[in-house]
Amino acid sequence: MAGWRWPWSPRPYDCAAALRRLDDYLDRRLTPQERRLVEQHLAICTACTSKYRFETTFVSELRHKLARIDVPPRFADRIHQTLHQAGTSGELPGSSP
Amino acid sequence: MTGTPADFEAVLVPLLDRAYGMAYSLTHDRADAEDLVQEAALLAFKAFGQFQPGTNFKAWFYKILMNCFYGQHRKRRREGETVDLDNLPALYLYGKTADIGLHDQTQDPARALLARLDTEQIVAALEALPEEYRAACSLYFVQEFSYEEIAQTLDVPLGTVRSRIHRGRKLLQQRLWDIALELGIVKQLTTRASA
Repeated sequence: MAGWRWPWSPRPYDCAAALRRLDDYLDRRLTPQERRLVEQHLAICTACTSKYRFETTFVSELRHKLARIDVPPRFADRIHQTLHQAGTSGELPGSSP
Repeated sequence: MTGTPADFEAVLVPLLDRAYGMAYSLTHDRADAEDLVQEAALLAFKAFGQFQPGTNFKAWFYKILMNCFYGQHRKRRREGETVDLDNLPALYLYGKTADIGLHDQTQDPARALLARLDTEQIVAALEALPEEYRAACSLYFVQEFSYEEIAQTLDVPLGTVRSRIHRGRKLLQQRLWDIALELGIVKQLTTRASA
């Protein structure tokens, strides 16, 4: 019986409803029920699946590339020196009002 | 709490590489990024007594770093930094890559485009965002902070974080497309798609 659903079942998402939730899906902000409804729609809609996949890859690729920012050599040593100098000049942790 | 310098360094050092990445994504200048982390580290060191043990040190430290950034940045804030947020199209890059035929050429058009952009170009796109979007997007993309952590760090409501991330992501897509156009990447991909 195509189209039949239990009266208390949530209404399935159409493309507009699924796309409205794309950003929240990416950021894992959907309720389990909303997520399930999005995934049910994606299972039957190749156009929305393609958009969701594109945006998911966009976020993961950007994160992957931005994790590769080169840190200057001996950066931690320089910070250590700065803190050491502050410590020897009496600026101990907790000294700030 | 009054910790020792060693206590402070023990919690700070694991954050330094990412903190530098964050600072660099905000400033897009290596010397400024070093100065920013150094200034934040020193301020946090002095204020470590106010840090509540058991709370999120990372969010506390990044809040100090952001305050340092705002302090520095305000001195040389760009005038006329406006952007048309009302006309931001949804799925901007998706539409643009579809228009040039990239979706017919590959199963993964997002990766095909982004593979041609390096970290420097992505940082340049982030740096071009208005300050409030840049801050939220840097915490989101570089630090992979949750909305709650971003709200805590920037001292703004959760709804504001959500809106800044959503709009920042769209602005970033527009800027990355412009960079790809400027570098001739779009032309190369179009040529390949029509070959």
